[in-house]
Amino acid sequence: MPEGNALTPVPDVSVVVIVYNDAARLPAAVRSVLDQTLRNLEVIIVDDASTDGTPRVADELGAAHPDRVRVIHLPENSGGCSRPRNVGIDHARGTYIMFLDSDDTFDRHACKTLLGTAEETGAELVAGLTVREMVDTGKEVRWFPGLYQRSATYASIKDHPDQLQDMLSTNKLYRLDLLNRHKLRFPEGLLYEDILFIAHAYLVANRIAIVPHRIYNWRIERKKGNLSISNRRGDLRNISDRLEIHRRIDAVYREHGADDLKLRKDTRFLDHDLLMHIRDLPGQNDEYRQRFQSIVRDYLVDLDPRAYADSQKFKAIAGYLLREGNIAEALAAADYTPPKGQRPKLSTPLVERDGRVYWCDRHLDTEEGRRVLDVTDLGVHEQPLSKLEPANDLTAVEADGARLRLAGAMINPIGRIRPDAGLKCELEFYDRRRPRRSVRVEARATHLGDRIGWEAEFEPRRSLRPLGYVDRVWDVRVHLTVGGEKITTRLGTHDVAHGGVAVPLRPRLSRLASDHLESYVTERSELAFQLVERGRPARATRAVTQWLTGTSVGRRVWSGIAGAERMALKAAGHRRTKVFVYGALLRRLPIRKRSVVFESDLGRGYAGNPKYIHEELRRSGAPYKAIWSYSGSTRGFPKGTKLVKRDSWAYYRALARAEFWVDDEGGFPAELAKRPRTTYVQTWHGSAFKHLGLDRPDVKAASRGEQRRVVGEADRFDHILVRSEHDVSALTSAFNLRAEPLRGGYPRNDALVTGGDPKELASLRRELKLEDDRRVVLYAPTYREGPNGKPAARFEMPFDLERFAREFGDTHVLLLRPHPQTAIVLPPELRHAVRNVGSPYDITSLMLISDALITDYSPVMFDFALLGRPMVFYTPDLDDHVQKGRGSYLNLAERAPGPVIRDEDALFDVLRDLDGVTERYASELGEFVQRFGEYDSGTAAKSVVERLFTTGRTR
Amino acid sequence: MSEQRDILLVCDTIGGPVDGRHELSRLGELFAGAGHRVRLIAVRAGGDRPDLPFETTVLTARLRFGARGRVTSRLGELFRSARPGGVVIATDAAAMQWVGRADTAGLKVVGVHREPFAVSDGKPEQALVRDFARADRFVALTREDADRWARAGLSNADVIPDWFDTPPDASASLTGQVVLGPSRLTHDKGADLLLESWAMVARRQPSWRLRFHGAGPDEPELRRLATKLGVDGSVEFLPPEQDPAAAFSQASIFALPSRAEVFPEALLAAMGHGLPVVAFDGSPAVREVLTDDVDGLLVDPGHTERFALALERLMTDDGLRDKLGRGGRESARRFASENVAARWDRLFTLLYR
Repeated sequence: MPEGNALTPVPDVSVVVIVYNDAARLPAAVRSVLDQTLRNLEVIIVDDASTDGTPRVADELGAAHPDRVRVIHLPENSGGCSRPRNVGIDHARGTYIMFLDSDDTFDRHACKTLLGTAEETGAELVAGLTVREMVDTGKEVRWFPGLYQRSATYASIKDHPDQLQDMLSTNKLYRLDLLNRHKLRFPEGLLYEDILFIAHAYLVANRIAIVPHRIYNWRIERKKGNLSISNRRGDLRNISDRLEIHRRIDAVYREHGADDLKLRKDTRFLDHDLLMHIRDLPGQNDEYRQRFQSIVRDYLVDLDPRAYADSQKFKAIAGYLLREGNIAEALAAADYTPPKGQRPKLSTPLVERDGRVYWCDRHLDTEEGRRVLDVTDLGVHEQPLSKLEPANDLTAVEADGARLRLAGAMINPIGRIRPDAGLKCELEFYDRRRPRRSVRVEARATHLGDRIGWEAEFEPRRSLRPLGYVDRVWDVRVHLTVGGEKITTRLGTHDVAHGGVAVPLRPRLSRLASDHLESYVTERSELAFQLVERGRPARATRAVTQWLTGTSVGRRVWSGIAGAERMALKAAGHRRTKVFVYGALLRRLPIRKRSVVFESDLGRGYAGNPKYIHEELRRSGAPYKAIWSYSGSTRGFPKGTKLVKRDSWAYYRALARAEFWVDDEGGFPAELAKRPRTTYVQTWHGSAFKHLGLDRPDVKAASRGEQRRVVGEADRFDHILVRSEHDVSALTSAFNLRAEPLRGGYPRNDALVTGGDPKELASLRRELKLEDDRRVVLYAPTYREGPNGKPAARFEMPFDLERFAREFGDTHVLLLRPHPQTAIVLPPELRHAVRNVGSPYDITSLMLISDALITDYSPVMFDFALLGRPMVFYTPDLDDHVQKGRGSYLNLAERAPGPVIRDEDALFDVLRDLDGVTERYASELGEFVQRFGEYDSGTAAKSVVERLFTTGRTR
Repeated sequence: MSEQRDILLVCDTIGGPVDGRHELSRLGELFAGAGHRVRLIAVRAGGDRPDLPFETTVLTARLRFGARGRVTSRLGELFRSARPGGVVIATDAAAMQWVGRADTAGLKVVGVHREPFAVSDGKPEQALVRDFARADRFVALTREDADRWARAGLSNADVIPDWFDTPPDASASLTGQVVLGPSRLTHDKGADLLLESWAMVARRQPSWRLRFHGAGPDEPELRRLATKLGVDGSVEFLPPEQDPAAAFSQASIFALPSRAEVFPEALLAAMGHGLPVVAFDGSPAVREVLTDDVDGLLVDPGHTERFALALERLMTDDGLRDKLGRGGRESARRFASENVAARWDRLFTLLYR
């Protein structure tokens, strides 16, 4: 035991604190070590020949703690962190060693936690969490939180190469013997010394342990000129040193036979390091860019070519284009993969070639170029315009007396906005802190081919009337309306001259509050405006208010008011407030007779059973007032119907006063008690297939309270629509249901029995270009779960669409219908054989125009069966699905009304013989319909309306 | 032999229906067994005073308004009377508040929190983090909980599990065709889920019995459920066994369908008897003890069919029962008092470095 040696006790840990001209912060750093819960440690302060008060401060610290603090003054400045740290290592006496920079601190328990872990696990290197503390704002950001989730020990870095992402040297404890045994030192004369040191240490350490505990506080100050060395990137030495470090790491890897780690490092270089440097380029001149490019290119050529495939798409594009000398497009790629918290923007128009979409039209003559630059999966060619995120660059801000002129150009991705499209353009100015306060100004838009130019000129003094004082910052965005779709963009600019343009203004609190509106460029390089004071009276009041808010009382009052406003706004809009007001107040308002609130799929659209009940109600002419709930977009809802946004005040008011609630999900907020005089008609959304409610494993495993909540939601139902006795028994068991089952089938399925409206179907066929005699096959798979248990955003096609197009293009058309919560992107080259019919296409109409259905586990099968047309179950992952899923009321493999197929060849064989399927499965299909859809007889909507709304009113 | 220390266990309340007397006495027993001098300090007493086998001091009968300062300074006095090298152990969150206020100069403080990590409103309870951050070391029962607390901000988080000793000669028949269920019949213990699973296997394995040696508020409901599922012929509800070892020794499989577990002593007892286990993988404590296919079979929470399949796998495979039973006996040793006491001793040494 180290304790035993009383004369010269060996410290458990030596902490090397390096400092250069940082007298102010050094004591805090050292204090954070001396205050550690681990007492048996030593501090070695290495002063890199500071020229301020640092040497004196360091000596004072040494004198105050002679037994625990040693001070070493280097004779001359080394210009980096390496030499001081190396000197510290040479002087260390501890069993373990750690490093601390003078501007940072250790967590109080850091040394003890790391030491304890090192001794329990026998690891020579132990790493813990670094937290970046923004000194100005007090905000904290975890550094690579994903790596520090749980404790773990690894025999070698090769067992856990992910750890190579954390390249800091400071949040770790090293066995001193490890450093000395391998002559591990920091490289002198280079920046990014940590990266080489730690890469080497990871590689040679015998056992590496990870702890999720907070270890290191990396304190970051934003003010310019105060950036610590490695935070200053606007200098070519940064990139050249980084590349040199990487070359040396490659050498270390080679030496230790760890070439497999190189690909990973190269990938990470593209994903992380290179991008940081590219993001600095917009502020630099051409000469700098050229030199940057030539330095980087030499290195990029040596990257493992596989790195471009392994790294993230747009980062690979940026690296590839830089290698090929195309800086402009590389910068555009960096724009599309911005730092966290910022939105990606498309600042290049893309091109379409041979049915694929590419980032730019150059470099497409090589196979590698085509592979790297292929961005078809982005779906720009088929997404709604409103989902695109085109860059909108400001080209001019000018003041002309009291008038302000703004002009710019927005990217038109692959010409999606056609030259003959009607364009309407508006500028919106809004109060940054209260975005609902906004003013719109007309702008003129012109189609310029791959860009849409726009221009606006107006007099802010007349149209923009801020209050003054409380709304000093105004953001601006552009709304471009094309046909029925709206594209909203912020204005980007890198031109400093776009700041500082001012025009007169008259705030409502008089010109004493402020007298001009001035443009400025935000940190994210976007245009914004602020209220400024140019005239003497305003400057005088500004000086007074600044003095007032500068005093401690004034500051407290001011921040108190601002905080109270923020809280009030937050509380007023909070769901809990609304639920409370619903219960306390809204529920006491009189019921509005004959009002019905409809909702389908939590407001995602005008669809499902509620839609058909609504339509039947309208047809019947009964004097009911329908109110539809929507979330997100109002697209597709019938004109003239009252709409309320889900979770808005109007929504709660409508629910509180409605005579009927109609929905298909049980989705009305669970906290809302239904009034006894309101009738809740639960239409449900499909035959019970996957386990529901109390039959779901996660609910089974839940606490009693949680189970009550699940049942409680369903307890509000008064009536529930069912298609069969199977539904009755499944729903009863899942929800302890007390509601009355309405045994009339589903309104949305009426058309499947009666054949639907021929005119509507013909127009749908026209729209989808299905007017030849090819067979129409609907492919409607359900979603797959992503890593977080939610539907994966992108559906991976389980069979080869290109092969389908090749083999069936002349005889079949495939309608691809992904689950509403996932998406599939179809490359343009498949257009002739495959159609993407995701929402908002109505699924019932799609079924009616299809000759056959392919699905896996989608409940679509229960509805499609009514048509009596062939169904094919393509389930390559059936075993996995059964094993991982939540279980179902039906064993597909046993009772499927069509062939259950697991491989592509068999699927294509079946597609060739769809008539055979109809024949072979006729009796199974009949049984299936009888079992799951016995009440679907084509008159469901009518019978619901008659039973509940017109003749047979019960309440 | 490690250093003998003064161990001052602090709890908020002793006596009354909800005190932690069982856990406290086991912790004290562990330290006393390792040769330390144990003293329990309870801030207040409620209801009946349990008879604990170590020196117990109660600071106040009832906590009156204004008594806080007195209690705090009294705590400080008691702490000062400890010999150097002593350790104060706050055995729950409330005790940690008291210890945090008191003068602990010269001693080291350990905060123990037995409850599984929980979040309210998506955030861990800030007050707990604040209080336990003042301890020199924070001890959770499982690695998973310790890591979660560390992520929530307790950079002093450490882990030491509970201990459990089974007599070395304890053994189970493994041929008796009896599945032993949980002994407390509450919602948390999940006997209803076990019955559901049982209904799926019972018909296929008619010679097997499911046995509950226990009682609890849910018993009538469970009996009704067994009837409804048509398995009352193969399910036995027996009264709690005086000698728990007897229940284990007659069984061949132990089923642990718990929805939540703090620290499953019954599981360790079963493993100590060499019983193979089927359990829902629902709590950190279960994962801390069991490794799938080594000493038991772990089933995703709530998946009763899979639980049934796992039971059936064990029923029909003598070799597997034997293998997992042996694995369990081996694993249970990690939680033997001597091993757990050694972990505490290492912690005490670390505290004073």
